[in-house]
Amino acid sequence: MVESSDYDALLVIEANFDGPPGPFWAQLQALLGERLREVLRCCKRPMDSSACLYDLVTADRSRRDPAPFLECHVIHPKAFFHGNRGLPRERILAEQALAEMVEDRLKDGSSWNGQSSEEVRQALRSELMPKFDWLGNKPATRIPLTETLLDWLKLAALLFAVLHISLVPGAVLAALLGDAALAVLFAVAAIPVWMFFNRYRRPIETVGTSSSVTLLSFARKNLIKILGALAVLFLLSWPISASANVLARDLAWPAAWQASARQLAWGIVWLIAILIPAVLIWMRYLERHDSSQDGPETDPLVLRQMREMEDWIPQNHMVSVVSLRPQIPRRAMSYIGTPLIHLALRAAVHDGYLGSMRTIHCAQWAFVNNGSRLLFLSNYDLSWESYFDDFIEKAHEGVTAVWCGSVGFPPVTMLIEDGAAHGRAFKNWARHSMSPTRFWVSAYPNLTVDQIERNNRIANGLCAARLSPEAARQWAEDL
Amino acid sequence: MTRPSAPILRDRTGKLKQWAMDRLRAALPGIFAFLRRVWPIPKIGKLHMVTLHDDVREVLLTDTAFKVPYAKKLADLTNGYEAFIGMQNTDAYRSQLSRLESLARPQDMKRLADTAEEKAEAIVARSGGRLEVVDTLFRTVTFEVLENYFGVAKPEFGDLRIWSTRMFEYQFLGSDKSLHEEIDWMAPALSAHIQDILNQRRNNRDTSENDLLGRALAMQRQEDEGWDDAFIRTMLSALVIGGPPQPPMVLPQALEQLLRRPEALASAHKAAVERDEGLVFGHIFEALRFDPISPILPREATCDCVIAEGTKRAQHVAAGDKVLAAIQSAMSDPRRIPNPERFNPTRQPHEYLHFGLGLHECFGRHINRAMFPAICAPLLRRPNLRRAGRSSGRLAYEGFFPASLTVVFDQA
Repeated sequence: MVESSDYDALLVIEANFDGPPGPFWAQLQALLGERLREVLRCCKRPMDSSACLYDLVTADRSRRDPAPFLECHVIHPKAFFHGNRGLPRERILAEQALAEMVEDRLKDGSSWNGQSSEEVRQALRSELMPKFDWLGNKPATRIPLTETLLDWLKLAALLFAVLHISLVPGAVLAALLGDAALAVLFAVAAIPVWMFFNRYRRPIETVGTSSSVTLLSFARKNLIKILGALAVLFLLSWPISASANVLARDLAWPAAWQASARQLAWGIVWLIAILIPAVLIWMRYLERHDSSQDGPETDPLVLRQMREMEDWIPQNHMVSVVSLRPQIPRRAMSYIGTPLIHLALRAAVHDGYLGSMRTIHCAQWAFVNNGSRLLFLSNYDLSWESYFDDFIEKAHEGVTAVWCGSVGFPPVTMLIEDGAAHGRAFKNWARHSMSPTRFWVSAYPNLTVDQIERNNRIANGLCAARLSPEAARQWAEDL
Repeated sequence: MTRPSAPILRDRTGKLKQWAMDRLRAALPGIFAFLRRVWPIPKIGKLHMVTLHDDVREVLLTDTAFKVPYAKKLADLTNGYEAFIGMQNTDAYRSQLSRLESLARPQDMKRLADTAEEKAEAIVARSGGRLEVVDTLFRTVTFEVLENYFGVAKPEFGDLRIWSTRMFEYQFLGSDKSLHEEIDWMAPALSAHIQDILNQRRNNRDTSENDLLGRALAMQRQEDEGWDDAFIRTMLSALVIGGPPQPPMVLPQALEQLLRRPEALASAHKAAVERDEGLVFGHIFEALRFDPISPILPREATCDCVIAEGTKRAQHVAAGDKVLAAIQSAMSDPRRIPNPERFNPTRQPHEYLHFGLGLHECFGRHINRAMFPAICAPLLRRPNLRRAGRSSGRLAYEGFFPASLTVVFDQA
């Protein structure tokens, strides 16, 4: 239940499950039955087309299943990070049982003295095979190559769409004006833009932190990749632009190719020299005029409720809802940036860890209330304090990028700088935005992300019929 | 009166008709899959069929709008008395059901299972490695155990197996003139037979309470309201008609499905050998999902209403319209059933609708839950269980009823 002084309480049912959603809802319904209906009766009648279903489900003595109504209100996260991706619950539990058995067998270390890693592994494999017959099979690929390729393709497509649309104004101007006129026009526009950019790009005195990564340093570090991306953008946009020239200007194909190459080149110049710095200046203007909330008050009773529910098991849960600032570039950044982050995480993260953060089971961001609020839900290991310390120390740029458009967020510079790096202010702000998680269930409550990955490595090692001495030694390091 | 040696199933279905019925049965999963995707609530005239899991649940659970259409025929079988099987959710219904439920006790189930397994084991053991299962095993054991449990012994003249099966056919599967003629004398005969037993027990001052009839008499002796002879007769008739004919229909179909799936059969064998009764039941129930006793359950609209209201497929149903709830389709609906094409003996209970749902969920579900694995386990435990050669190793039907299936196995 997410409570807020500006909105009525929001009932959130977070569901992280294996398999398709339909059977999940049926299972939830079978498990909770009438209690689910009782919960829905406490909610307000929706004003959209699901109102009819709501009435049917919540009517006195109703027997209508609540699942179809709940399905009408599913919100898919715009960004989702899954820690142990590719490992279904059954496999995690099976590998846990195996790892415990291995640990048990290795308790008496003396009996294994003098044996090589491979000998130990082979002995354990033979001994455990009858109980875990799946050790004889090749472990299922966690993330199939096709899925990864598809993720990269989606990321590239979204990135291409955004950049291609962005360079259209420059390309259109190039079609209307000659090179000399265009050069003068762009120079006249770019010089003040860059002057302003240079003037305002640094944080103001009270905002700057010792954050080492800046947007520009990030761009410099990835210059080759950025140039490569622009080249790909040029090549992919070329046929589109040429076709547009053929259709709109009635050019022959050879002339259309030539004209579109020129237009695209100017389009890219427009993108880099004018559009991106101009947008960043706009963002900087907003950032410099933002009001942050340095000392947000958290209701002591709510805070106590949250703390009482934390740290019972190695895992914890948090829910937070923040209002988004209304400006157009902010919203545009959020709506475009969040899916880009989601796709980038899916495409790039395959080892179960978010960079050096090794504590996140699931983290998801979703827009609620007509996109006016950002909901964040997370299952993580260890305490809330250490989780946020990790955010602050290891991933504050990404966290700032996601939350920089939120009301009350600590002051930000250039989208990713500062913000969450203001550790204490960020923690206060986060606590203020949180609500107690009234009820949550973990499918494997005693396992951390790290343990799951370790168990997986042990199981995969035991599945192999033979390992090289080096691989066996690496495998043994997990024991 | 029928002679004990008379065939239990009527030989009334022509070969062509039987062939068509068999093909239709085999094609049902495909037809349902098509309907779920393209036309989830088909309507022909005043007949509607719901095929999606959600809609089937809605129809079965909304007993105020969709009643069971069994009352009229049931009255023919019970001399005009109403029985809970065909009633709406009234005080009379609840009273009748609670009285009946007070007779069947949870502790009976183990006794039923033990007796069924003992009898099944004896039959399988003396079969010599080749066994026709439908009649010799499933029907024999079911009737022997349930006759004993109900307290309705075999009649001196006639065969309870035939009476019960004929009346089940009349009640649930349709009727024709010859069946009607048989019912005209079988129903009174069954009623009279039960009355004879009641009188005999009273005359003999038999106060045993080992069976349902004995317990009902005990209630009568306590002069509890509502335990007159007519009530006891009607309830026992309903049980005899609705209960024992089902396992000989269900279990051969389950075995046939297992025989088609060697891995599932091996897994069922393992469960039976390890005496994992729950898992054996899981195999039977899962096998039946692919070929349930009835692919549809009929209902009749009591008022003008809308099925799947609030969705795009919402369909108006007029009072008096027939509605078929396709439970076979619902149990294969991938929108709610995970991997429906996969044989999974450890599915969750809500994924099955074999016993119906809601007000008219099968009264005998606990009895069946106890007896199904008990009857099958001795056979499943046998090594190398397989079909007999030629056509005898295939499940043959007589109308809607499984007629024969012969299996062979290695002698342990």
